[in-house]
Order: sequence, then structure tokens, then C-alpha cells
Amino acid sequence: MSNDAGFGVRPPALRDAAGAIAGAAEQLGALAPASALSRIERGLPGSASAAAARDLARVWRRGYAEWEAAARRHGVALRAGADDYEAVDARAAARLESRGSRDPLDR
Amino acid sequence: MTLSTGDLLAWLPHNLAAAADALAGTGASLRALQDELDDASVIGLWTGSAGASAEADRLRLVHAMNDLVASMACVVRGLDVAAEGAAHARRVLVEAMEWARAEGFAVDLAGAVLDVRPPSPDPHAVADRLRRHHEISDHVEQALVAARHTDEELAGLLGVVALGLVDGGSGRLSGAATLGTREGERTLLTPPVGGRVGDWNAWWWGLTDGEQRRIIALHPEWIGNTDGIPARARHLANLRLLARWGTPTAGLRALQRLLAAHPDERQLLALDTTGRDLRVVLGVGDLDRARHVLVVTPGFGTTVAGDLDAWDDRLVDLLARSRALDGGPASDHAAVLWLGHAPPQLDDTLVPGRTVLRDDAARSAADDLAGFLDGVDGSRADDPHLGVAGHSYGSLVTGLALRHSTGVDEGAFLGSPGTGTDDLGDLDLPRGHAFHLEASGDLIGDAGLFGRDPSFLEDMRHLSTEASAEWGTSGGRGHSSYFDDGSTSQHNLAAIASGHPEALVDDTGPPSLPDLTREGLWRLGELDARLEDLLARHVPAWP
Repeated sequence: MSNDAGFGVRPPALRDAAGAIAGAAEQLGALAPASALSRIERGLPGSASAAAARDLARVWRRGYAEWEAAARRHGVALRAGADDYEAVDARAAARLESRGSRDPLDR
Repeated sequence: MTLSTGDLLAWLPHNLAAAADALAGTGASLRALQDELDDASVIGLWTGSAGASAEADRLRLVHAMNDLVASMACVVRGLDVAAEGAAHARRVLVEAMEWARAEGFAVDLAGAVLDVRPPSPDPHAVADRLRRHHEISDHVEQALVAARHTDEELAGLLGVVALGLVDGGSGRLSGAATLGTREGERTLLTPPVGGRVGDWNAWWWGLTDGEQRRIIALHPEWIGNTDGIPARARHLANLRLLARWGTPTAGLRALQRLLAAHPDERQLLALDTTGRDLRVVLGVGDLDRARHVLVVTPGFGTTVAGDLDAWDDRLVDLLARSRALDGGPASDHAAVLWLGHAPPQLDDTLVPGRTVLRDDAARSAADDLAGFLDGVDGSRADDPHLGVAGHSYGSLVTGLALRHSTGVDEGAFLGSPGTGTDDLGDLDLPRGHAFHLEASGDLIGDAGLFGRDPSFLEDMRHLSTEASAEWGTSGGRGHSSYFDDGSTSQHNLAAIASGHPEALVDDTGPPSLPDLTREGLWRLGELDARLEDLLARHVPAWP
């Protein structure tokens, strides 16, 4: 589907793109980097590094969750875009079909 | 944050390495998302303003992922470095504490080292113990410094990552990882200021292997001439410094030639080009591992340009003789040509402070030699059998250096115009380990210019320079014969260097006439001084 005046779109490819970013979000969600940071406290008990590691763990948990959510939203948006274009296309096709086999110049 | 020895002992650095490994796995998973991020692009699939917005959103996700990847790589690198740094710091402390325990010292939580043994009546043993006390204290102190550095650097790095200050750029995720890894390097712990040999040695071992390599490559001047740094590292640093010289002097050319001819068998332990004369300390063999090390200090008129090759040959021959006597592997023996001072030259004779006729030049050189000797001992975890041999004016330098506590086990004075003392008790040598060699016809050895003639110093053991049928060695004559290959004096030096007193050939002959004359004059002088003292104390009007 393309238009020289302003836009073009291939909805199935958009769904593939949506699937890719959703997959990335899912993979990221399965990671738990903050848990590895807890080993720093075990390695250097009572140190400044241990305290800093706790702060970083909080930042990472929030940061990873934000990225995952943003990626999911992006995937949803792509999928919705594909759906919307297809819906518009379908509606347009339906309107055209509703005119039956009449000659378009037959008024 | 205050860090006690107890805190450092409680550290378990392998946990940092385990965290680094786990996060490296996470980092690999993040980088593997590159395909998904690429596949999520709508370029060519969706044109128009909505498509542009979708691509802009994806790029924001890519940038954010780059930052996550870079941050992860940064933390992984920081943890790897911290794991090694913590392990090194802890090892320095553990070894220092084991050393302290073995020597009868106690180390408290603040890192103070306490001597819990009753003091020895032997002054040499007291000096030796004080040296060990200092060395152990320095090692404990530097272990804590290195540990604090590790903690501060890691905490700082984690803080930077938490603030989102690590930028992964906008390229590929692999590139972001490279950027992050670079950010994860910690700053070098700067060398101790005004520290002792033990401080420098413990500082060096508290660094990671990578940091040691960085210092050799980027800051060779920090360690090239620094006592307490292992010989191999000093050598590599000095080679870097040597390579920086554009137009070498005759001395530097001689040095470069020698090192090129023996790339793996010489160690450049000090290089000083700042003075009028080039100063060099050259090791033959491996000073980090040799069981026996002999440090030789030449005398009047010696220069690197004119004499380096000849002295190198002498040391090579001497080491061969030591090995033959000892029977052990070649790597057990090493020798050092110490030209860390510029010996007085003929044209210095009328120059105050430089003339061979006074001891000023020797006094300034002696401090440097003492530091070097202390460093040979202090740069190693074991205790090498360390000997010194001073020839001519170098014997005065050696004698004055031995007034410091240096860890030297044997002292030999060859063709000596004096050791700078009337009493061997002034020198930090074990009793019975001071040796004197004087060849017949050696006028310098008869000069007795600096302190009492060594021929008459109490407790000095006099060794032969005459031919020996028992050892098949030749006799030497004159001031320059002591290192002649195959000579009895060389044999005796080899026996001293390799710790074989049973092979020493004693000088059993009577003192020479010049020696007797010199001694007679010295005794007259002593008598005169005592008489003066007596009169001053008992005759009130005595001027």
C-alpha cells in the first residue's frame, strides 16, 4: 500500500516489526541484572561499593522495566497501525464493492 | 570510609568476579537484541509522518538500549578490575600478616604493627628487626591504601552508572559495549609519596596486572629507578625510557649495544641521564629469582661509556665461577654493576665535593646504594643471600652504605683506601661476614685514606689474592687485578657471593710494610687523641 502524495505502508511487515520489538521486550524482561549486584555486598561487606551497588540495583530495576514497557508499547502501536491501515483499506474496498459492477462513468 | 585490617580480611573478591561473570552474561543477552532492534525498523515499510514517528520511537529505544549495554559493560569491567584489585590488596595484607606472625609481630585492626618479642642484645639483629618492622608496617599500610582505592573507584563507577552518565552512543550495540568497557577502567593508584622500599613494593603488588602494564608503558619514570619495585618491571620501564632518547650519548650507545647483545640476560635496574655522567645499574641474571645476588660498586674513574663492557665481562666470569662452586642452576646467581653514582673522575680531583681525595662524593652515593640494596631485599617475598663488593673508591661507598640497615649478608672490600670507619661494628653486617682483599703492589689499598686501613680492622677477615694450588687459581698484582678470571681473588669473591665460606682462601701472610707503617701512624694518632682527651679532662689549664 503506497501513496506518492504522503505515505505508504505494508501492514504484514509492520506486524513483523511489532513482533520483533515485542520479542526484545520479552527477552529483556527475563533478565535480572540487579540480582547479580547483590554479590558486591557479599564480596565487600560494609564497603561504599556495597551501598552504591544497592542504589544501582534500584536504578537498573526501574530502567529495565521502563525499557521493556516502552518496547511493548511500541510493538502495540506498530500492530495497531497495521490494523488501522488494513481496516481503512477494507472499508474503502467495501465502499467500492458496494457500488457493484456499475460502470463508474454511469451516473 | 575507614577500612580496618578486619574489614579487608572479610572481603571475598571472588564474589565480585562472580557478579562480573553473571553481568557479562546479561550483557551478551542485551547485545543479542541487536537483531530484534534491527527487525523492528519500519524504514521502507512505512513511509509518511506516522512511519517517521514510529522510526523515531524505535531509535529512542535503540539509544536507551545502547546506554544499557554500555552501562553493563562498564560495570562488568569495573567489577573485573575491582575483583583483581581487591584480591591483590587482600593478598598483600594476608602475606604481611603471615610474615608478621612468623617474625613475632602482631598487627592490630587499625593496621599498626607491634613488636611483641623482647629486644635482642645484638645491634645487627636489632637493626634487622627494625627493618622488618618497617617493611611489614609498610605492606599493611599499602594493602589498606590499595583496598580503599579499590572500594572508592568501584563505588564511584557504580554511582556514575546509576546517574545514567555512561553514554552508549547511537551506533551498534557492540560499539556501545566497547565504549562502556573503556569507561570501566579505574584510575591508577598513584605511587606512595616519600615512601620506603616496603611502601613501593606493596603499592606495586596492590595494582592489577593490567595496571602494572599500563604504568610500564605510560609512566615508566614512576618505577624505573625506584627501589622496592621488582627487577623485571624496573628493567621494562627503563627500556621504555631508554627508547625515548633521540640522540644517545656514548654511554647510552654502549648501554644499548650491551642490552641488544643480551636481551634476556641483563636487567636495566636504573637509568639516570640527568647528571654530567650517565648513571646506570645493570643486573646480570634475574634479580627477582636468584638465590644469591652480589652488588659490585666500582671506583675512581669508572664510566659507563668507557668501562661498561669490561665490567659486564667481569661479572659474567664471576657468576660462572660462583655457579661452578655452588653446583646449582645458573638462575640461582645474579650480579649487579652499581653505577648509580658517578664515580669521581681524574678531572674532578680539584673539584670540592667530587674529588677522589675526599669522601663527599662517596657519602652522597652511599645513600643511593643503601636504598638500592634495601630494595633488592625488599622487592622480593623471599630473603636472597645478598652480598656487596666495593672496589677502590667503591669500597668507601659500600662501607658508608652499610652504615644503613640494608639486609646485606656479606661485605667485601677490594683494594680499599678505607671503608669510612675505624670500627666494623659501625657497619650493618653479620659478625664474621666482612672480607678484605688487598693484592700485592696495590698502592690504593695501602692508602688508608678513609678510616682505619681495612688490613687492621678488628673482625675483618682477610682473604688471599695469591695463587692457590688447592683451587688452581692464579695470583693477582696491583689495583686492577681483583676480578681477573681464574684468579684467587675472583675465586674468593665467588665463594662470598655464592655463600660457600668453606671455599674461602685466607690471607695468612704478614701485613705489607706500607700497611704496617700506615697502622703505626694510625695508632700514634689514636694515642695522641687519647692523650689530648686525658689532659683536657685532668689538667684544667690545658688549652
